[in-house]
Amino acid sequence: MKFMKETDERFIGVEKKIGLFVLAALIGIITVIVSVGLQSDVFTPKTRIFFIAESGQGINEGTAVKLSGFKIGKVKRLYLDDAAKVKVELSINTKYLRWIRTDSEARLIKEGFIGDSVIEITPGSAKAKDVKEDGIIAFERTRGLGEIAAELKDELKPALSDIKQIVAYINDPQGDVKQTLENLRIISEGLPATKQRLDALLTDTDKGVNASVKKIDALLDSTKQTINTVDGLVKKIDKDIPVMLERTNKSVENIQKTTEEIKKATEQAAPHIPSMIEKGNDVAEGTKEVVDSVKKTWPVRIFIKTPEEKLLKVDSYE
Amino acid sequence: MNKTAQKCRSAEVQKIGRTAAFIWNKSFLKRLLLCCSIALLLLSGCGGYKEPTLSDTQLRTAELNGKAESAFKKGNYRRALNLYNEALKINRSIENIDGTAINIVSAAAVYRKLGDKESAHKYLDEILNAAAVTYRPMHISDAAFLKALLQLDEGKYDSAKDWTDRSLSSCDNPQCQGKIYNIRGRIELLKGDLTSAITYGNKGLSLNKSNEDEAETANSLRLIAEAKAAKGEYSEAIKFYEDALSIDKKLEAGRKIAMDLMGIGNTFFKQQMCGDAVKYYQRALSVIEGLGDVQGAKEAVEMINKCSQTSSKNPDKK
Repeated sequence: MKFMKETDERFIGVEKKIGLFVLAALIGIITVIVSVGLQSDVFTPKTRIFFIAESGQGINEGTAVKLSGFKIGKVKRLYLDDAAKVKVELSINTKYLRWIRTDSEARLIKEGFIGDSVIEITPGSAKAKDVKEDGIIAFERTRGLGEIAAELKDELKPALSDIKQIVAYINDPQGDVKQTLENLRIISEGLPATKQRLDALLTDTDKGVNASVKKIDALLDSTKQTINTVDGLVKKIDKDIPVMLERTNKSVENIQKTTEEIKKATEQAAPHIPSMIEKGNDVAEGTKEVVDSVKKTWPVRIFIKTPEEKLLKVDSYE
Repeated sequence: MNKTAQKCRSAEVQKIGRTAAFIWNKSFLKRLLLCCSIALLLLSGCGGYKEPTLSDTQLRTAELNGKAESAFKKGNYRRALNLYNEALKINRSIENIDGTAINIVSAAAVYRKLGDKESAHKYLDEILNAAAVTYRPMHISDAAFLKALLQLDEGKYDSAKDWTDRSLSSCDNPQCQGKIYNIRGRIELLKGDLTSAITYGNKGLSLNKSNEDEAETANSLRLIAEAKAAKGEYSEAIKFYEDALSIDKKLEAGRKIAMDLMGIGNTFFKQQMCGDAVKYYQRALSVIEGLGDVQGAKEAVEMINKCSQTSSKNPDKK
């Protein structure tokens, strides 16, 4: 027994209805796919270009490629080449390719200091040729915040250490700075008293200067007298000097003669001096040998103690 | 029978005596006998003990060592040090282990006198920590003894004690033991263990007396005196000080004489016998002034002043 009749009104034209439903669904799916594809630039024509980096650090598949702040493509793939360098394949929307020239440079930068990494391509010069499919452009890695911070840290560390030492040096109560300040404080405390003493000294000096002026007057008189005496003496010396000079000349002549004689005698004796010294040495050595031999001979040797190295006596109570 | 035998024997003796007198009375025989005796005496020198001959290098190092000791005794420590170092250099160049050890220990003693403790330790460590060279036990003992003195100077009593133990363990003759016991006694005295100080002092005294080491005997006596004075056994202490003083005077050891006199003065002072104490302090001061010891003179004057103050407070106790 059948539950439903094929002639049931609800099933009349059911095939058409289902067909329409499926069609609508398909149209919806296709629309979504197309719109997503359009959104993702799937249908935009792309051109493949490359750059080669020393390291793939910070570069990932899908990393956006920008030119003057506009997204023009993305990193499609990266792999190691034969020289163990990272070859990065960029997929660039063909319509933007005209701004990329052979002298364009790709740079790995951060969007902001802590943003995502992006590949920024600089527009090339007008003189340079356009980059074509599979073309290679230069790459430069810019330093990230971490690297800058690390570099700064390296540079600041010794400076901070120096500052720390300087601060410690300044703060050291026994250090020069503190001691100088302490001395300055002591000096400044003593300044009023010093001023008073200086005032008193200046008063005394004033008095002293007056007294000195009087003394100087007396001294000048005395000096005048002395000058007169000296004048007389000079006149006397003027008379005596020629006689003295004559005598001195004679003495100098005598000395010269004597010196020449000594020189001659020395020149005559000079050749013999080395041999005399040698002979002297020989005699001294011979004498030493004789004395040594005598020292070793009985009974002299009994009375001569053989020298020996002795330890310096150290007293227990010193 | 016996009487007959005795008569025969006495007759024989008389006969020999007569014959000897006859020979002696002959002047020719007298001369002959004298000549034979002289010849025999001279010949005896040929076969006598001949001391080993030193090489030129050994003579040179012995000469340097002797000069260094002489300079040290004159108080010219810098010259002594230079000479010991020169001797050391030569001994090292010929790998003379004994000579090297002697000059190292001596140079270290001079460094101690000059107040350069660091250099003294460095020199001694060369012997005490030697791995490649084997020094003789007596030299190790001397080095350890000096090390103990250095530690004592620095107030490191426990370390000083350890070094005296090492010195004693390496000391292979009773001559070095006496002074080691003295220094051990001094350590105990400084640590306040008076009984041990006296025990070690007595040990040292006995050994030093038997070795006829007068300087160390006086040191033992002074050590015992100091310990006894500290114990309150004043009369015995003074007796020991006086014994030490008589030896030190015999040896003309100025510094020790002053120490003994100061010790006796201090013992009287402890008994509040300021009159007697001042006499000894003044004697000590006179000796110290003769030695040119400014610090010692200051101490003596201080004690005299103290005595004067005490006397003025208690006029009855003189």
